[in-house]
Amino acid sequence: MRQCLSRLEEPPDGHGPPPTQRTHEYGSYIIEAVETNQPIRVNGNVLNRGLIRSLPENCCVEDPCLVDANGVQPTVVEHYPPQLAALNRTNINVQELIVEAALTGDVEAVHHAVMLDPLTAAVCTLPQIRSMVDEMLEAQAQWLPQFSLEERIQS
Amino acid sequence: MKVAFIGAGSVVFTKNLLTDTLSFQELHGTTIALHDIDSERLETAGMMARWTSEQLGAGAKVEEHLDRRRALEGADFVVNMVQIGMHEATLLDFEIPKKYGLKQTIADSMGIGGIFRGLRTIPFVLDLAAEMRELCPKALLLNYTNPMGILMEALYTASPDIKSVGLCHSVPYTAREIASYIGVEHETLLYECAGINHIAWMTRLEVEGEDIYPRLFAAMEEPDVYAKDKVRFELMRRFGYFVTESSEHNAEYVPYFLKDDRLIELYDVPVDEYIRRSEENLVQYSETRRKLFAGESFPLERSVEYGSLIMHSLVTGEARTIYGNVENTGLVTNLPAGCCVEVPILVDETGLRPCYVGDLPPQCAAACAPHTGVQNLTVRAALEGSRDHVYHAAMLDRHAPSVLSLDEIAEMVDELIEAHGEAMPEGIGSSKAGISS
Repeated sequence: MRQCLSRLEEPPDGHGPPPTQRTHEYGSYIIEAVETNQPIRVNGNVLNRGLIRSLPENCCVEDPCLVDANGVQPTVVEHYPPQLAALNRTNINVQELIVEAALTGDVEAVHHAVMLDPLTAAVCTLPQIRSMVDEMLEAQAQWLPQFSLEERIQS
Repeated sequence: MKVAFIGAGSVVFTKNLLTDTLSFQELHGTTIALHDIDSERLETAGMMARWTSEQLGAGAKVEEHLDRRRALEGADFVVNMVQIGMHEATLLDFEIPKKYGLKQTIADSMGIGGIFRGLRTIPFVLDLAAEMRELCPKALLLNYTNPMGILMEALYTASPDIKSVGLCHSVPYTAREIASYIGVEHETLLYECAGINHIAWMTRLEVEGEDIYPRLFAAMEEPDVYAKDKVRFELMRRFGYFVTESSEHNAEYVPYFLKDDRLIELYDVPVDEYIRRSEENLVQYSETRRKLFAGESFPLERSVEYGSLIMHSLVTGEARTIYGNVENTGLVTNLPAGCCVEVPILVDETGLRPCYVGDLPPQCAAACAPHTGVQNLTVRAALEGSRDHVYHAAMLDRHAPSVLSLDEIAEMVDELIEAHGEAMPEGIGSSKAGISS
């Protein structure tokens, strides 16, 4: 938040010419690997199709991927420490429910997701979570058409 | 860095791998520990290794060890290239089935020959793994020995703590053959391949973004092109995809080409081909030894083998895509879990990472599946000392039952077990229980 605000305060064309050194961002390296067929390894966020067995099938995992002219090819991670998988699952829980909510327009799923967020659950009571989620849904209704919130508010 | 070559007496192969390895600047000065049980072959291998290193200015430290333990001590890589039983055992694998009317071409991977080569080699590889556990537990085992699927499955089942990968040149060879059939430079051919060793399918073939399968189907219609690879072209015609290894290998992996003389002639199937090659190898070995003593030269070109590329990538971090044979941990989703699959593998300084492939076209998976069953049964036969599983494996081969009855298969298996004697794993040579009598 602080970073975003400070960037907003910078003059739009201050700080000299644009960067001329290649950064570590994967985008250009991926394009280069596909175009030249020179393989690279990147960690990409991809569909978990048996890549990390201890995480739910079809969740989104960040996984080492081979990139060459055949595209981005995720690899299978053999030994993923159980305590890390357990930690990941607490976040995956929320992600799965939010995706469910967004795809189906099910408002209850939004509540479920937030109730299961580890930080929120540690700090807020269930009634607080319910009214907080209701308040946020209402405040952001214009950007959340899938939940038909404006209709709900009107009715 | 130290690389142990186990079975270095396959001198030409040793030379090829060494040429590949020592032509990398970063791998100069490597200790090359050669081992073979045949002291003459070991000497030949040593001479070849020193010659190769000198030609390449690689400064390799070449050691010859009759004692395998000394070769393994502290190794970073172990290359397995042994052939248990050599030419004599190979002859049994061909001659005994032939008496029953079963013809084979190569008989070193699938089928009856593959089963028995597997049975006599599994005890060796498990011993090797046990010694590696003691002497170089972190080393990577690069296995070149056939039968690939059976040996790799035995290794990762019984010795999962030993890192291993099965290597074969059939994927890049097939790519080069395809390129030649359609008349393009092989470097321009983009391919994706997956399946099991020797029966891997080219699921993607492209040149400059264009699918070239139509061109390959058209090329097949030219008699001189078709004649080069009749069995594989027929399989492509019927199954829709081009398969790896070769026509001579694939002829015995299916029941369509070797079951009668008419078919053998129609498809130019080279029966007993491996015996000829084995004999040629013996001649080539003598010639190689003669040339070494005479101070003559050998070609020093890079081969397509993956071994040196893997070592180089692990040492330098240069990422590469290779094809390797590994445990199916959900990589090919329509082949059985735990079978040995051949898939693209990313290798860099962080190790070898097999790629998720997903489903093969169903007819391709179905063509591979029976062999995975045979391989699993052969591994179980050896690990459990189960003679019954040897019969099961033989009965489930695709080629043998197209020619033999159940009784003939059982009798043939009995005769092969007897003939291979001490080479068979413990428990298999015991009294014939149940099935055959």
